[in-house]
Amino acid sequence: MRTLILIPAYNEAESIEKVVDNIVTNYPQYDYVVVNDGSTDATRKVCKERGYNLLDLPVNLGLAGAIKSGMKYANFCQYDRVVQIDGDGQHDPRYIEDMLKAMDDTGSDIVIGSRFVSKKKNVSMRMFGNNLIEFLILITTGKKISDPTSGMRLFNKSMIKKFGYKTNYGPEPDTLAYLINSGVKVTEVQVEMKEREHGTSYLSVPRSVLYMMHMVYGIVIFQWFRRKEK
Amino acid sequence: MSIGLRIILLIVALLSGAFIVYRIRRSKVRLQDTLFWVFTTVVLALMGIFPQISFTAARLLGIQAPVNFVYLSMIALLFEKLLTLSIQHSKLKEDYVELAAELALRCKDLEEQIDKLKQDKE
Repeated sequence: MRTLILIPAYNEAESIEKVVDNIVTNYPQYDYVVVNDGSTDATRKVCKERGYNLLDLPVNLGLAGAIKSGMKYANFCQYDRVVQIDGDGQHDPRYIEDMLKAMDDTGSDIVIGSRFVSKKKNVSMRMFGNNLIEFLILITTGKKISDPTSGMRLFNKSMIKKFGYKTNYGPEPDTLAYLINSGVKVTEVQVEMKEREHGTSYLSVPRSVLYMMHMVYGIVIFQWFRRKEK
Repeated sequence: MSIGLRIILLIVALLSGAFIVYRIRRSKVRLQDTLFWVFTTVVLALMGIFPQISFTAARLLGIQAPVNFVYLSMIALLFEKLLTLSIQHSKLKEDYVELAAELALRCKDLEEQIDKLKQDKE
């Protein structure tokens, strides 16, 4: 079983070194690839200088495009599993082992590294969005996903092919809801996440509103129009 | 509002609705691009089924005939679509220039490396 760590990076020049060096020195059992999503800062330069395994997108595609590219790479290089972690260092690779084990034990197709399996959510706007999505997934699929917006996810081979080659497989909660209803098995594993130290999140305020709109529409309406396929 | 117009509204809503669902089932369209059409289809259907909506809205807005409210809504929807399409088009053009420029740059870099390797071999 070969596992690839997929690190989408948009303007992460200040943190990417720490993230990748940590993997190279402490977790040599995993391969990794950095997908530079058309960064406007020195992300590409840093990766080139350090000789990282880099997939360099010439234009900014957004997170979904970066993940799609990474999944295509994983499929091309015949990896069996892909684990997606953020380039800002908030996800700790030491939990990958737990996630892989959970995938083996439960036969899941997707394992989510969740902050809230055994821990409570704090109160903030971000968590309000998280709760709303959790609620919508619960009523449309009957399954509780405590951290649907988590960016740390493990995918198996059949998911690699779907996310890499099909339309409307963005790495977002609406895809999760659709997949659960299509019979794909999704489980969660408790992980700790750190706060980001550098750079800015993909989500600004207007983007968050648009994001929530798309998620609500995707989970409540759009998924029912899609053809279910496992 | 004539019964004829209401029937036309319903037929248009039904056809566009069926078409968009068909495209979604074939996985030929992105989620983001369907939101507008699902919304538009629902609006058209509602105006066809409940003419009272147009009557009330026309009265509130001081529009003489309810049918004009139907036209106004359609113009508003088309205007919105045109605006977003124009913005998207502009971004696509920009991306396309960027893509071509980046590609040329990287090809040049590769070619130079290959030439260098060839020279080293000789």
